[in-house]
Amino acid sequence: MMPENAVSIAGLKVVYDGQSALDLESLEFEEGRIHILVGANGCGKTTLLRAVAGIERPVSGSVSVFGEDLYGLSRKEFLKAIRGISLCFQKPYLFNTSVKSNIEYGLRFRDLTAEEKRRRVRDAADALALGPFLERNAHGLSAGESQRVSVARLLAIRPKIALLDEPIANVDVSNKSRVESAVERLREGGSTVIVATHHMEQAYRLSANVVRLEDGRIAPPALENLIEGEIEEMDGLLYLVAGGVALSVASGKPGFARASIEPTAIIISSDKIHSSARNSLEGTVKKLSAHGGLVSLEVDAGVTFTAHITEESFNQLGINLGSKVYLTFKASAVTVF
Amino acid sequence: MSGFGFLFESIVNAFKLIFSGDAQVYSAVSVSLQVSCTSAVLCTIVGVPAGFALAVGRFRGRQLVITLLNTLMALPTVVVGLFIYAFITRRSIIGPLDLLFTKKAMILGQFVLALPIVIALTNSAISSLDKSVRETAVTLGAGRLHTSFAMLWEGRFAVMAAVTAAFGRVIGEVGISMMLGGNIAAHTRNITTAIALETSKGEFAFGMALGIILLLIALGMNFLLRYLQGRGES
Repeated sequence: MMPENAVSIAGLKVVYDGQSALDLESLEFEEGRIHILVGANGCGKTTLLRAVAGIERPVSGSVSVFGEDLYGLSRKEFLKAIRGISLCFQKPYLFNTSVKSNIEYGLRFRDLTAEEKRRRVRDAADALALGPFLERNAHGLSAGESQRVSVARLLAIRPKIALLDEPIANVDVSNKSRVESAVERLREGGSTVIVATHHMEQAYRLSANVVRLEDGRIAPPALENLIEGEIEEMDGLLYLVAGGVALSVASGKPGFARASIEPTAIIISSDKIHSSARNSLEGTVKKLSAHGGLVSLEVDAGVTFTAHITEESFNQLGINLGSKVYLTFKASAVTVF
Repeated sequence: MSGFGFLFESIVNAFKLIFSGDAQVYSAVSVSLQVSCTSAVLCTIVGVPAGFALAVGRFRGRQLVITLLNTLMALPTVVVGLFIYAFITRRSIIGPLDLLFTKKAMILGQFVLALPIVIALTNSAISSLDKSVRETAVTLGAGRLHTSFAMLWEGRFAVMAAVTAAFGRVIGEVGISMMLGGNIAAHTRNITTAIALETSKGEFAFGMALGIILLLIALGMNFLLRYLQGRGES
């Protein structure tokens, strides 16, 4: 069965003071997965999250949540629909009461037993290491602690759609992994999670479903040659094993990992070359395209790689579709997230 | 007797009156508290929701209403007294209700005097809240009513200050109490009308005793407000 789209965007336009803040033709977020929005500040990430949360009315277009056009619903249906969506703001507002009351605030509007509410508050607080702060007034917390409380509120609610805007922006190093684990827990609990971040590393640590925004529009992916696999240690060396290919990597921990290779870091040759580079793979050219003095090659070597070479090199090598080529790159050219 | 001697003797006698439990003094205090507390409570019941609605509502003429309310905050008490008098005098429409020279008339007058203060200051308190208060409540699943409660809760100290300001205005006013209450001993004579009357009769110590009590009430209200604000911030 095809997975349903939790959120579908069509022709969405949001304007601030006459200036276009968001202009998206089409974008879909599959149910039950973690999706990442990346881009520089002001690229429209926050605006998109606000539009999906129901607090930023677009000038045109639609935001469909589980098939229902959010901004086309009656007031009553709209309120019912947005009850399943929660947003963790980049600069979260915490109510002027205890941390505990802040975490349980959203649970007041859910049909849960008192015991279940207590359990959820405790679990969310534990997950974000907020236990010692529970009775403290939330207005006395640091920016990073406030952000953790804000994530804990979402974790307690377990919304159908969880939106997080720069959730680690102010969080200290020791708690970043807690926030990332909380995002994963939200997904495991059945939420569709959309995270906006400008930290590329965090983006790919959390998910391979990355959408890049630029000036309010969808831009080409930030990374090419994104590979998902398992890091294994063999003879004291680390390898990323994916699609029957073992790539030598310079860093990483054994277990599931995502990695990328910059297309210009891959050397294309017609014969195997002997060099210090630890990765050398044979493959077949599947696709060719030229742009801006560079030729882009898609090579199937068990995993499909994209490499960029100059037109001069391309002409010298005499490459055609179906040609056998060798791909050579250093272990350090493989960025493990 | 020198000026200072007179003042000193008046203060001593004022404290004697306060600590001796003088019936006339405490009767005036009782009337003041009954009338002003009732009018302040009524103003809170009507004014806080009205001020909230004014802050969150967007309608034609909203700015005009706000300007009007700000003007009414400085309304002279005798003007309020005069208008209410015209409405409740025996020859007027609601004359048969026989309100003139009763505590009810004083409450009505003080209500009219303080209502614009509560509405205007509540509007200001809610308008100055960060918009993320409302958005946070909405995105956590709160409906319209709970979102309103969340906003009032976050603005509670400023709203309390609005009510305190209104109470301070009514407990210290004299024009309305005099015109609508009639300054009838043990019935409608409150602190301010008693001060006016007794001082004009030369009973300076009596007036001063009531003046001290009035100041203590105002001080107590403000201490209570500060205490609650302090607790909220801790």
